[in-house]
Amino acid sequence: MVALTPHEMRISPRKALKTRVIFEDEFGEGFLYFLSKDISLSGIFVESELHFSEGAKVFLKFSLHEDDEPIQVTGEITRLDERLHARGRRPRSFHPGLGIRFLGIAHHDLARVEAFIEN
Amino acid sequence: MKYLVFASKSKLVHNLTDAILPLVGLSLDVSYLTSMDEILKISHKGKKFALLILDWNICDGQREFKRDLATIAQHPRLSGARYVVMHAPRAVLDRDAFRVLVGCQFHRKPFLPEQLAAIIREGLG
Repeated sequence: MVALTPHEMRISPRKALKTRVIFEDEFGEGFLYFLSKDISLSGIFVESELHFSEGAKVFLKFSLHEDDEPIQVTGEITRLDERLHARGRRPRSFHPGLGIRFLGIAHHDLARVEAFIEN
Repeated sequence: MKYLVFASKSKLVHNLTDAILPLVGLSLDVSYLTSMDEILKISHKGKKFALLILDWNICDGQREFKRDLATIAQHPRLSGARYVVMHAPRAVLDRDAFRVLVGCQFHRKPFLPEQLAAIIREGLG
């Protein structure tokens, strides 16, 4: 299993990925889902206006390609994107969301993410 | 203020539901419960609940399931409520047993946050 630090997360290259990211419960059943914006080796960013506590643990399931075997991984909410202009307005191209750091992603799944980013 | 019961074995689901409540746009008082026993032990005194949301995971495998639903239907604070059951896509539900909860709605998980908020909003009338 591999986990990167928040600092390493910031410097990992990202690639755009629009896929369904399911938040599962402790019993492996999906409950909510979000759409992702991009992915890196250290984590995934999903579009959401919801407020979660930074540090909250979540169970994720998502696929890199349609019909691929899904990746299941535990994640940690590390970033709530609520950037505002100095006047308190959001940039036009702004998409609110959550940065989620992968905790303990399996090596073979990390390799799949790496191959996805590099291709 | 609208009063609702949300019953699921999963505390993570409770937390996720709590996070989407602002999207509902109503003033809500939510009682989060984790089992059918807890629902049945709700005090008979107090405000009536407008909505009962059941996650199928609290019903699965229960022997006295039908009896418990009948008890819920007679509970003075739950009898006038609307009922929603949420379930996994491949769950095998005994929908017939839920007939005692008149007008019960069924919804498949997972949900977009906006979808769940709409289910709650519509369930509350």
